[in-house]
Amino acid sequence: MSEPIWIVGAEMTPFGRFPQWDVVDLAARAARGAMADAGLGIRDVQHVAVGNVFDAITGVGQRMLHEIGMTGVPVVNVVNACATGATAIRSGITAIRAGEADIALAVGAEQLGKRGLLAAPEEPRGPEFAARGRDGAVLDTEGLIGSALMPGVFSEAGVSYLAANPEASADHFFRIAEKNHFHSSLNPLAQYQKAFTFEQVRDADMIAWPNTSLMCSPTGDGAAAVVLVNADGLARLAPGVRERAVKVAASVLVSDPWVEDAEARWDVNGVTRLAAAAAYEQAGVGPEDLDLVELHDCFATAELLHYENLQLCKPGDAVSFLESGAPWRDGSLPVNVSGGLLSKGHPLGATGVAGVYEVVTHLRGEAGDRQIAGAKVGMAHVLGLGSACAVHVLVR
Amino acid sequence: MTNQVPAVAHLRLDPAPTIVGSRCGSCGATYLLRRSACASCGGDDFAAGVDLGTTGVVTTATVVHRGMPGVPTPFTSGVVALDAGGFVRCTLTDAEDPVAAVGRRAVLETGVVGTDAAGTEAVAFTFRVQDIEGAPA
Repeated sequence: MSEPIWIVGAEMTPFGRFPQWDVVDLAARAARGAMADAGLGIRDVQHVAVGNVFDAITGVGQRMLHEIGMTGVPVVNVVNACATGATAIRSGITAIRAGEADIALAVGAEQLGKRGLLAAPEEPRGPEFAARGRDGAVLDTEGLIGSALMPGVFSEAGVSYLAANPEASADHFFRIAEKNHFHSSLNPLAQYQKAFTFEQVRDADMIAWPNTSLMCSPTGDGAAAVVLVNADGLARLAPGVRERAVKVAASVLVSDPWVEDAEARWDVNGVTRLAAAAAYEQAGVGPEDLDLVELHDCFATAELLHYENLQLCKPGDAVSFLESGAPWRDGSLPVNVSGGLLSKGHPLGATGVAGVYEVVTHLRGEAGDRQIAGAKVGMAHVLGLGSACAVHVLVR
Repeated sequence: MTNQVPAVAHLRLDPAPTIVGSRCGSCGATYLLRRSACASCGGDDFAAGVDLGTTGVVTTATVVHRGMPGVPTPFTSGVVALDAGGFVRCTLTDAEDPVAAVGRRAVLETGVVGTDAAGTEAVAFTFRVQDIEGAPA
């Protein structure tokens, strides 16, 4: 049995567009908030893990410590696509379990700005054709030989579900976006905080069918942080902090299992199924024990698939799960009560930590107007294509 | 005669356009892209230049309405499971309804998509989706 770990401090900045702050400002604000929440200072922290995608080469973790306290502790900078923040949390847990720390700080931060479709820019090509890359392309193939951009990838995943499940329709994806935008209207930290009707979702600009612009997570800026401790670390804290501690019942990170079409498309399902099964086993709980779930709704199509992938319903029952009202905040298993990535926002490196922050806040009973009453067990899931999937199960 | 090159290495132009790939000698997994070893079994004994043919079945699709700057939209993007093994990402034609396209047969078509400074033409491919009787949908 692995050493027990608790989250004793948690903080999240507002998500949105903040050109006046750089990634270090955002990371520092979240880190200091999480430490204050735990009644700790930077000199109490023995390990720092910082998740960030687009500025990772600059050493965001060390730059953050230059702002909030240069203590000489190990710093790990983490990049793992959209699972970056959750991987930072797992790095902190791993350091504690390796015996290198009793108290670790995990931060996710991103100054994403308006990066649009998040495509890697092509290097300029010469005047004559020359093969490049694993496919030996002599010219840019995006849009010429299909699309490998994220909206297309997740729309194709949704279309596959529609083709295999005749009871499902695009209306169900529209409904999911309506739900998550409504949920964000209760979250003062969310990027949108605005409810949209089913019709507004459906009639918004089409990006890649069936996902309209209101069914695609926005780019934006933000940060979140948590303080992790083992039993020795917990014992050093004030009684009021210990009482608010949330136990990490499972921390799972997996890469994708083999599928025969892996070269042609990202498999958004298998990797999540693998992580979820491991998380339930590690936590010793089942989906029936969950009080809320924050899952990776980077596109509305993804959420419907993950109802089944995370075992929130039986295989093939995602539509009936949605139509029953279960994933709404007053339903039997609320999903993405923060607004999810669709409406809370998706600053890549911060997202995985923000999902854990949301669950922790509910388990502590401190979520204000969006509180899920009596929540004791929650799950946070993120999926980074490549692929990396992280699932955390938290218990109070 | 104008010199032509395939837009990607898994398209072979001569003697007739076809998709080519490699097949793992240990487990039979099929690949279109350059590889170090087999992602299924770890083996590194590959049969290269395997002709994977020009026909298959659509496994997924979407109609892209917003693309990268300079990319004309809308177009249908998808994946075809080739009859001889392997899966190819491609643009689909005659596939305006992506859900209806899934499960239908599709046939390779090629065309010139660009010319470089030396006058060499790049040839790319699409897959045309067929209706149930085998005619274009």
